Amino acid sequence: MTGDNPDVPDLSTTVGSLKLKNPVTVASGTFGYGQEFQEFYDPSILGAVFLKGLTTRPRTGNETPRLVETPSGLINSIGLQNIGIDEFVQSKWRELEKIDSAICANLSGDTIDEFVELASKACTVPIIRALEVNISCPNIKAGGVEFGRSPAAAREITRRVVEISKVPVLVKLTPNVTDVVEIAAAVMEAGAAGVTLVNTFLAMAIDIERRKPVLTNIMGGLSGPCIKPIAVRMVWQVYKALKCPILGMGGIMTGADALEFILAGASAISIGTANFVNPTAGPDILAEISEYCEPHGVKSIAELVGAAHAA
Amino acid sequence: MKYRVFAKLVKVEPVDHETYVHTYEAPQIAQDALPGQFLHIRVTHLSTPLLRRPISILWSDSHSLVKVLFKVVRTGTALLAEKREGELVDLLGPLGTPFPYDFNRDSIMVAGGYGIAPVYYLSRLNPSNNNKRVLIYGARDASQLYLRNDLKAAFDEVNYATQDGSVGRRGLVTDPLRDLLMSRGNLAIYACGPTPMLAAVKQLVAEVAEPGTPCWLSMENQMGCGFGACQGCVVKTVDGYATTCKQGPVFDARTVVFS
Repeated sequence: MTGDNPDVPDLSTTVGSLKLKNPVTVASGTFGYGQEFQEFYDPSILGAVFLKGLTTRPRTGNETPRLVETPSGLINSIGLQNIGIDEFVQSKWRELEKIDSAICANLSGDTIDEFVELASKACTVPIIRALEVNISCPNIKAGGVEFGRSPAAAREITRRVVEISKVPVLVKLTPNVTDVVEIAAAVMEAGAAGVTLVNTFLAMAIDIERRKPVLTNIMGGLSGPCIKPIAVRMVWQVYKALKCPILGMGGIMTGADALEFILAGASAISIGTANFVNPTAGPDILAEISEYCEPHGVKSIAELVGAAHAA
Repeated sequence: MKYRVFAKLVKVEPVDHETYVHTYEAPQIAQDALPGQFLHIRVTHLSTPLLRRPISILWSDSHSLVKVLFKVVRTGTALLAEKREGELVDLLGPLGTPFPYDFNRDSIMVAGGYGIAPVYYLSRLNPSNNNKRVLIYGARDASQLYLRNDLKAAFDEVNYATQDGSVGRRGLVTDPLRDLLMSRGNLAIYACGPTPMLAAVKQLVAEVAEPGTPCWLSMENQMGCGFGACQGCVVKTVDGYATTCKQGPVFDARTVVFS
């Protein structure tokens, strides 16, 4: 994008066939449908926006309390509260038309057929540039995380969605497995454009006064800086084994955090929980990545992807 | 508009050993703030506690200064209490929906503990012309009734209720509220305090007040982002879940479903 000016680093990147103007994206479930953040900045500055997860029917979400703070982290059990695919396809997407960023739909089904239905409907929305198949939400009781734990199920969902999708398909993986490489290999074989690594870690907290779990849902997904080293390790392992396109995430709060993921093998990164703490985390982290490039002699982000693996 | 600013803490006023008033120099926030709205304050640049703390606005001079009243509850507010005058503090605000205000009805403002902040602001910002502003202020004991020296100037009438009877009437705020609702008409109710108090106010207004009496509740909740993105702070309403931070914290009492 800035190839004509040798002093400005080229921040453009790709996740498989998904082209992005820069590597900074915002994670599904942390950015709503974009409206809330437009009071702080224009999301057009972002490489991509991953929308709040959509299900075949509207979901009211879980009972409260839905959040609990833990050391350097946050456990949530929102329960995929969302408007449902039909309202999104009929009208909601129009609110996003003015955002000049890659808009990506995140899909959560309870069955393979639901994933196929969601994908075919999402592909009718002209602004959708990619689908992110969520086989890893810890907060819905049926299906969900189970698909993400089985290579065979993950492969099958990916294959069926890729078959009917008109746009690149990323698959968002759960870290709650023994071998994340095995699952990543399965979805890449099935035609995914790349993998999103990682969703939240299954976790819980107990209120010692009430002697009960804090969350009504008992367990939830842990995110925030506390998970970053584990997420970086998983990106490293998948990149090392497969060299596949990776959207890296997990506790990124700063440009330095983002660069760790990129050096481990992610060609783009997603900001999640940081959006809740600092609503301008997106542009802030983008600026910090950009500021790193010049003094380190980096001409293009592509030079950094997986660079920590070099002998 | 909502702003994220690093605001100078210009004044720290201890109210008691665990309660403080902070005054911040934050012109953008001060100029837009309204009663019922809150600041979402990052108490540390480190990662624990990770989330901001929502604190109701006590006063804005509508020009450059904004004040909050807070009590040290746990780690987050303890860290906030350690801030010194001159420090820059990371603020987000003004957030949430403000109280509507009806000049054509007498105002009954009901507060519990540090729930005094938004109703004090509401009353002080809307000096009486035709209508009266009556405060009913309750707490467990006198030590949890804050800003008592400032209340007479902000309200036309102040009624206290303490559970131990140390100040005002012994009992809950609902006792004097019941008397007022039964003896006067053309009222509007504005309340802020613990959730059980708000539930009791809602029920009492429904049972005793003239039909059509407006009743607004400012709800307290643990929050994530503070601006509607995370859906963590929802309350049950007749229309489904609503975010305390964005659709609230002020709700029409008729819409809130208390469990």
